Order: sequence, then C-alpha cells, then structure tokens
Amino acid sequence: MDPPEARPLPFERPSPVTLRSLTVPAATPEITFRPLGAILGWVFPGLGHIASGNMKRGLYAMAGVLVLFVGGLLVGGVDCVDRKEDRLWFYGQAGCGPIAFVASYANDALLKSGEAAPMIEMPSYPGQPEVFVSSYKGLAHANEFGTLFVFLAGLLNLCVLLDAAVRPPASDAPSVRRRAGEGASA
Amino acid sequence: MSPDMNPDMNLDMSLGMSHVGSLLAWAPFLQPAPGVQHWWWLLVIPMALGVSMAYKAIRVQSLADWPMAVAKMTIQIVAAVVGIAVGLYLLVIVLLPMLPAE
Repeated sequence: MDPPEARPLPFERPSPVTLRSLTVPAATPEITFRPLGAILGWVFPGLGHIASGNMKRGLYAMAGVLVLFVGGLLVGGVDCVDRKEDRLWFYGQAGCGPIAFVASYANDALLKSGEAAPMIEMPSYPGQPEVFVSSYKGLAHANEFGTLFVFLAGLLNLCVLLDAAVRPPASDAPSVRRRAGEGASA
Repeated sequence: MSPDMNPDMNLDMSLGMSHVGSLLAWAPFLQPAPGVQHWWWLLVIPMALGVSMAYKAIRVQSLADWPMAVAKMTIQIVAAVVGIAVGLYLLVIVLLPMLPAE
C-alpha cells in the first residue's frame, strides 16, 4: 500500500519566496547599477545624470540640491558646516560631495583662524582654558537652519546619485520617451 | 501724523533701519544672515522648495511635469508643517491648560 500523498499545509506557499519577489514588483525591468554615475553624482550634484545623457534631469536635481546647500550657507554662514565640532551633522552634509569639504575647510581657514573676523573670548569654567570663537560664529536659529539646510542637501544628493547610478543612460530623450509610451497626445 | 508723535512708530522705524543697516554690513557666506532670529519660521518655504526640486527631479517620469510637481509638493510640505504647528498650538496652549492641575 502506497503511503498517502503529502498535502501542503494551508500556510505553505506554492512557490519558493525570494527576497526579491517580496521587494520588487514582477514587472520591474532588470536594473543595472553603474558606479560611475554615483561617483560623478557625488563629485558634484547632478553630474551623474548629465554624464549619462540625462542633462535636463541632472540640471533640475543640481538646482534643488544647490538651493539647499547655498541657502544653508547664506542663512548660517560657513560655520554651519563643521567636520570637527558638528561631526554627526557633517556625515549627512558630506553627501553633497567635495563642496561640503570645501565649506568646512573655509570655516577652518577663515572663521576659526580669525582671518575673516576678530576672535572673542567665551565664558569658561574657572580653571579651564580660555575659549575664543569667531565673532562671525552662527548662533541659535541661524546656525540651526543653516546646518539643517546643508544636511538635507547632502541626504537628497545621496538619493540623486543613487538614481544616477540606476537610471538608463539618455532615458529622457524624446525618442526614448515615445518608445516607452510617455508623452503621447490623445 | 508725524512719526515723532508716535513712540511705537519710532520704534518700528528704528528697528527697520537697524535691519537695513545690518543687511548692508552683512558678509554673505561668512556671517549668518541678518534677521533670521526673527523670521526663522519663514525658512520652511525655501527648505520645502529645495527638497521638492531635488526629489521631484528624480521622481517624475516626464520632466515637463516637474514645475507643477515641485509646486504641489512644496505647498503640501508647507501646509503639513502649518497644520502640525496649529495642532501643537491647540494642544499646548488651549487643551492642556484645561486639564485639572491634580
């Protein structure tokens, strides 16, 4: 007598479940990751898209990131990018690429050295060494918003450079959009 | 009425002149922007605009939709922040004082 056929339990799935099948819709095309796009996107915001032929998209992304970056420096001054005193913030700000390092270097070279403005003594505890800071140092809301703006610019540039790494080259060209069925008039 | 006759108007004018003076003496990118301490809450608008511009640049399928998508997302962010501010104001200033002390 043959043994009874094993029946699947009610909670058993009929097909093997992979992590990809749970996270990526079945209709999604294969994605090619191009590290050069990400690297160029980090070198300067939007450059990854521009280098891969998506010029307009790169310029739009560049404009968005630079509005935040330049806006942050205008609101808070270069003091809002500080890789030594605000290290955790700088980890996010570094997503903007070399321009964040340049801003931090300018903070060191112009403000902290006393080159741009006189240094003033800060109150210190008795017995502690005297502390001098630049009279241009940002305080309160100006420093907070400047730091936040540049931080958001860095985080958004990470999204932009990842998009540059996976977006097909020259995918914004009109002929490509027509093939994809976009922009069709009624 | 002459400004000399109204002390409040004199105060407003002197505050305005001091803002103009600090703006003229401002060294952009080195010093914090003058007046931010008073008008910091308006910075939510450029912040929302910048976030929307960068985010929608990589999200929209057709770049012709980008300006409208940016405007829509900016308004949504600002409206959400204003809504949260109003909600917290009602909670802290209106509702919480109504609770019994003990």
